[in-house]
Amino acid sequence: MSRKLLRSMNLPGSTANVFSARSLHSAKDVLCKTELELMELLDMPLPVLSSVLARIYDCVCPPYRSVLSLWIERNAKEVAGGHLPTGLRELDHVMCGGVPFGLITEVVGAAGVGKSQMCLMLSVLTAMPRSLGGLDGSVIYIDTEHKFSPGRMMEIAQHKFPDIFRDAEMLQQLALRVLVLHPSSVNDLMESLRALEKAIIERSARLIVIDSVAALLQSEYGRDRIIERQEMLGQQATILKFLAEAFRIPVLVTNQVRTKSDNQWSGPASANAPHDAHNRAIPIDFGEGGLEQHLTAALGTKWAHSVNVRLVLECTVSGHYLIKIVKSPMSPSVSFPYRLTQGGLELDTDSRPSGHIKKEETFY
Amino acid sequence: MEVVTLPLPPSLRSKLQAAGYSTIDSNVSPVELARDVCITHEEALGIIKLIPTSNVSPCGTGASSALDFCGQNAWDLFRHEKAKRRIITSCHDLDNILGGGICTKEVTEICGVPGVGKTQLGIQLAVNVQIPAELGGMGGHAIYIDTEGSFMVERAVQMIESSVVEIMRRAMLDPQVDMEALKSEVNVDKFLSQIYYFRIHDVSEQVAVINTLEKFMIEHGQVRLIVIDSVTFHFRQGFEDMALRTRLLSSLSLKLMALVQKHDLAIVLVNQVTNKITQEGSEVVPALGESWSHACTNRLILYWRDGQRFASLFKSPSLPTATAAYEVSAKGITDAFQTYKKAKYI
Amino acid sequence: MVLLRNLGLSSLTPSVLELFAAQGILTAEDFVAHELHKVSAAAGQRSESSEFKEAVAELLSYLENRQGGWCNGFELSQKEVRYLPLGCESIDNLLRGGMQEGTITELVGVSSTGKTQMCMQAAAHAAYKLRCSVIYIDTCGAFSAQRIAHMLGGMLGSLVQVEEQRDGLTLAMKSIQRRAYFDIFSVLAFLQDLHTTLQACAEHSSLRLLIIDSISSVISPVLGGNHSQGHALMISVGQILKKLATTYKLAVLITNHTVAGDGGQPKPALGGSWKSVPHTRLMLSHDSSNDVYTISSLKHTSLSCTKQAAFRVGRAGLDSVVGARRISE
Repeated sequence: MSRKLLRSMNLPGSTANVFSARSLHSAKDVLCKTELELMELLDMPLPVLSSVLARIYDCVCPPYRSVLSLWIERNAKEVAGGHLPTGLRELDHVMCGGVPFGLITEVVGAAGVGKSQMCLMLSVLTAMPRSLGGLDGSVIYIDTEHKFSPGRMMEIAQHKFPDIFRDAEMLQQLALRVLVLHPSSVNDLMESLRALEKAIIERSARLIVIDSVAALLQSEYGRDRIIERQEMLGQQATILKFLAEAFRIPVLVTNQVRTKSDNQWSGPASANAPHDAHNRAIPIDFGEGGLEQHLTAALGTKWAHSVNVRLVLECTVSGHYLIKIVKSPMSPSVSFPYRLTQGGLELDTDSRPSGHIKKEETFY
Repeated sequence: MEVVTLPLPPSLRSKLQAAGYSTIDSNVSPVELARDVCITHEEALGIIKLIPTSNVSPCGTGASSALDFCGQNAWDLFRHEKAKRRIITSCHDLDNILGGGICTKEVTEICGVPGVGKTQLGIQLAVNVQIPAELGGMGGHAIYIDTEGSFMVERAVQMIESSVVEIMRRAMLDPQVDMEALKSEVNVDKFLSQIYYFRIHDVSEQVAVINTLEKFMIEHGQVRLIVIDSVTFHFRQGFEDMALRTRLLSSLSLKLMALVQKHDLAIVLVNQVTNKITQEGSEVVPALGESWSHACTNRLILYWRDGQRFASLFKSPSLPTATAAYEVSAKGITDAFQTYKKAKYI
Repeated sequence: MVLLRNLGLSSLTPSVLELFAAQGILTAEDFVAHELHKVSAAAGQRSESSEFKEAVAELLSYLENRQGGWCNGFELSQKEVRYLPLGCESIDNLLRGGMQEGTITELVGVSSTGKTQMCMQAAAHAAYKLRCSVIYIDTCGAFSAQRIAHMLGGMLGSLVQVEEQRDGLTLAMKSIQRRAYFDIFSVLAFLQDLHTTLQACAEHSSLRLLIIDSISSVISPVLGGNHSQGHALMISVGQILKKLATTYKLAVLITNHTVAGDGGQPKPALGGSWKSVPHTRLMLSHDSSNDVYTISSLKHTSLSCTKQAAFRVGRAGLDSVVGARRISE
């Protein structure tokens, strides 16, 4: 995070002293004040203040890049143009290669649909060498509900790549590549997240998994501490985004589904409200299909804004499993039936993918 | 001019007031002022420079500044407004409710629930601003300030590819267009190179980048669109002092307004939504509070209804409130399908 | 007030000024603040000199001339009070004629409740029907010349095709000056400039309406924080607006936004100190179900605050909606 200190910015000596005399040491201290406040606080004439601020702005402002240069760089350096292939072929195809780097991908579903299995599967895939479609890197697995099972992971590995994982040694190597953390409280979790930067570098981590992001928060921060909870969540999101982008790695988080009765959400605002509310009410409707309307992922709107890609795993009334792309900047709204097997998740290739197959594929 | 209304540091201000200067004229001598107030000549001159000089001339012999109606009256502005080009959104209904598209010299806010297409619209506008002038576009460059990391390069490439195809198709129908020259201007790489991307990680960077936009505009005079996606994200956490947040946001919005007035530029701000608890339960409202509602000239709200995306123009000084349906496809923002075609004018 | 030596009074010779300065009297304000017999006593022998007495006499008469002069209630009631109607019947009825000249009218409301529309309507109506010039200070980028043109078109009605009327439209639009400022110092500088200009040629000026939309967006960023300068700036704005309104008989129309008040009801922003600045405060609200805007009076110097008026915003301006309700107390 940018906590640039003023003393690293080569400000003229006298000015620098004035700032530190008023306890303004970092760029943030200065920039979170309006110019009038600064003038009053520092007792500095406006032209002098303006030139100092211009210098600070220049130092703090990140450099720009043209999108062309970003595009060229990613194609040259990254696997599948910056994606982690999931091994589910059709899903990878509509997701332009797989789980994207640099973004937070959320897997949502009720208990038992296979969210943790998916995490384990992607962990195995990350550890695989590039020649086999992996990222040849290690995994940082933050397990808040103690669902991580090394045995299951090995089973998935053996099933998916029987030739490679023939003996115990290879399985052990795989296990060594996965660092599992068990934070016991929200503070623990935040500490771990802040320390991840170093861990990622030391271990050449290529995937971060958090299973699940809601558990600790919901147990420690009940319904009456929603604002603090949202604040914590916001901080988590910021750190995760930063890590994802700085290291160009995928971040996978899992989230529970919550039914409508659990929260205060009362549905689309009535258009006939007797008095106009202070701000306009926006009618909300989370999408087509009766089923999705009742599936609200836990943690609310603010978290939903932070997540870039959302995959929903659900078990329909007829007992079929469906994986659906619910939010993605670049994939159509398609769902695929899948099965839970020894190798984790596998697409049900017997039935065709369903969704809005219109002339122009629509995006969710 | 009252001394208290000048942007002076407190020590100079109190010195002036102690010396009896509660008002000050612009034609006072710096030497005299310095002597009276016990300050240096440079400080005195600095103070005098802050006093705006008014060109008061007897009426009838020339225009005096405050009552000078040339160039700033409604008639001149009206002629300018009519000649303004707009940035299309690629959805005809949406363009119609916007009066043709996003307009320069205005700050437009786009807010909506997650996943409804705000970033998509932002990227589409960054592509469409580059449509060449001879085909009715602005032929300008774009700045994309990304605070959430939601800008996807792959998506921009997808949109540009289909946009280029569409532009070439239209150009071929127009005999006056020089196809060879157009090809060198309208291609994927060129368009990609004309979108300048800033990735902002916290509030200080956001404040810094907004303050350096003026300088950027001088260096890159062809920029016609700035998209900030989203303006909300970093302000939603880490601010215990809400009054400070409001002040900061207000001053940032004033700077953005000043920027659009000064340059021929459109600014699009993407905003999130938040839940607000009211008597009836909770309601979804644009984030950042009531005071932020005044920061934009136009407000476009995107939402879902019955599985269809809609855009509603909620605030505009000259256009009526209206709603249009739109769709997000592989090509980018497109018209909605037949059933939702007609834009509704409320 | 300025320094004594800059007043231009001939009797204030250097020696007299020195005498005053020795007692800490540097400005006319200081003079008024000191008791005269004490000043004479401290001056001692020299207070007997004719020079000193002459200076005091001239100073006192100067001060007397500076104040407006007394007038009694009867004289006041005989003075003609002029109103600037807005051109929307229901609003003008509520205000018993319109905005009173020499007063400050404030429009308060949450976002999108018609404040800017009312300002533009007032400007268009004043420019066309009353043939006066209007200054519109725009601090939130909301001024739309196109909208003004629509409103004027609405006033012209079917006559818009007639050549002279089109000229009338052009002339009206040319009399609306729009200034865009985005910080409080620029606004203050402009208002001061306007004051100085009008001082020089008030008789020739046809300016009758000054609109600031919105005053709160330039004041609120400077309020708060650990300093009181913002507050001082706000008070200065109030003072200069009042001066402009009363001295030059202008109608001043300003807009203000709201903040959350008691019980979740919105209240005007800018705090308690600003309350006394506008003479009239009108609260606007919008009912989206039937698209009706309601305006009620929060404060008025001569009207009761129990009535409401309603209007709609149409293509050609504000349209009255009849059936204004009386709020029961």
